[in-house]
Amino acid sequence: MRNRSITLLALLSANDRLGQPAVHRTSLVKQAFLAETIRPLYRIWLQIFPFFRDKHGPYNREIFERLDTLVFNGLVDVESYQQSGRRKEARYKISEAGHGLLDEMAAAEIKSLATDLIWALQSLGVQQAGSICELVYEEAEFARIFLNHKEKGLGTNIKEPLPSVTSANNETFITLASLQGFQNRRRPEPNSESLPSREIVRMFLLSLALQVPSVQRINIASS
Amino acid sequence: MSTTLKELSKLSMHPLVFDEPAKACGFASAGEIERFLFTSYGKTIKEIAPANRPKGAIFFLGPPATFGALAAVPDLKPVLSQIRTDVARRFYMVPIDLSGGAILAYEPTGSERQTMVAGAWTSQHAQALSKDSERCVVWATGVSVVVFLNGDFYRESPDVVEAIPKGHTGGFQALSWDDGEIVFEFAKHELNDTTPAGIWHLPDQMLLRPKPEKLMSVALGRFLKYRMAGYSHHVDECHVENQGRADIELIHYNARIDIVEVKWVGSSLSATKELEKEKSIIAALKRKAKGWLTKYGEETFVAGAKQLAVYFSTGRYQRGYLVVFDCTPPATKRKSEVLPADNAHVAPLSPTDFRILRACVDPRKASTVSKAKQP
Repeated sequence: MRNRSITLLALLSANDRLGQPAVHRTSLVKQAFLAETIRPLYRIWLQIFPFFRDKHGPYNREIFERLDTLVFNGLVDVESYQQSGRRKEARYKISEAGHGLLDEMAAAEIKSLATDLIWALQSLGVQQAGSICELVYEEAEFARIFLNHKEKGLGTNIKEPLPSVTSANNETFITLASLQGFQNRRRPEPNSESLPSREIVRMFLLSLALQVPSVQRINIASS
Repeated sequence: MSTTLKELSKLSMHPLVFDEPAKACGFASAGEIERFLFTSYGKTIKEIAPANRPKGAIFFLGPPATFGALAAVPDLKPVLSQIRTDVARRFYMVPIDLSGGAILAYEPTGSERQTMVAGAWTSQHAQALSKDSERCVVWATGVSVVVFLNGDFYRESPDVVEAIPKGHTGGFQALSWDDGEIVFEFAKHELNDTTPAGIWHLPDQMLLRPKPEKLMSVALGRFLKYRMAGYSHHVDECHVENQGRADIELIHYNARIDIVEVKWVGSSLSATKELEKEKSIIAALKRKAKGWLTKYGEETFVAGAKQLAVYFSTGRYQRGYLVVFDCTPPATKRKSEVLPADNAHVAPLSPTDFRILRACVDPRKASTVSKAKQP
């Protein structure tokens, strides 16, 4: 359970250290989803955040509850907040105390995962909430469930849980394993240096980005 | 949607091939170059007016002093300006994080300068330079770049602002789609046309021709065709199944389809009064006569967003753009801007799928506008 708050802190810290402005709440949810998706690359085998399919994408309410706790404890600052109707617009930034606490934590894998994820998003020029949503919608398991719901004409009120990335036959897991496998296969010498994990994350995100224009929604419209 | 093994294999090939050359040039990994291009450089180019962007300029790209550091936009802007100014005389070494600033790396000889075409270097020269120096060399023109690593062709991006990862570079005049913000340039430089080919009936009175929406929409499509980087084609007045006709369906280089709904605010002449003399129209404007004008105000934004949401709900589009050309009289507070989509207007769709842009149009002469803006 502890990992959940640390993951959020690590993501906010990585955003801050890599020069990103305060993080939009939608972006943070999607970053947390991507972090959950790529965790096998960092040998994190326990699920951090369980997600379910909400109206517009993968969602987990606990992210905001954890975030509120972090804000309440002075580890995260709210840079801007606006509410119009039911829609909340807020941007978050890690505080000095948050950085301090994270430094004290021995969570090297999560820190490295968060840094690599934000680095890879930057290398693809993905910064707006809208662009990160487009990537996330292409994650294989989410896209499959979304399409399934559409085809069956199911409403958005059905909150189906998304399978964990480490569950059997998870397509994203297979993609990550393939990407890692390709680089190992091409480096036969045992002493040769392997690609850094951030490059594999970049390739994975690129594979999602390549799916974006194909828009499964076209199929729905024409069916 | 899943990616095939073949696609994954292709994807993983590129960083593997360029990993060693990138490390030889001092980068932690090849992705550092993209990160600079699509984050730091892309943001900076966006801040520079199209006419002031580099045109066939060359610079060396160096590794950052510390991992993860990137040049900030205000720091990189003057450097790019310097590169543009010294395009024929000096090539600079630009570290990704600008640690130590841009350093003079090479001064081309007279015979080298003779290879320039219309004041710009060719990308072939940049490649040769990269091969001879065994460094990372960037050839920059407008929003496009080509990057060479150790003389090898590493990356060609037609639009760093929109982060288009690969494709042919455009001319220096090519503009980025920039998530719809290209319409600001269109409004500023195309819709200010006060000739009979433009949208204005009486520009001095800020009065538009009858049915200006159609004129604006067609002109915007034409503008995108000739100026937009990553343009594939567009469809005017496209048919949206069971919903009517949307203004523009824009298809990008990668088959991505966006929908653009064009609206306007201000006053236009009623179609039945088009043949009236100028004097009569001015007199009618003064006495605020009924039946002479069609007026649209701020309520257009709400109506437009709702209409766009109906088109978007067909599921055919990647993103919906509502472009509202503000043709009201110029005022100090009036400015082109991006507005957030209201959840209530697009529900049950996600507001992140929409972008609402207010693009201000000013038909006054450039000399008048420049004087008006002076303090």
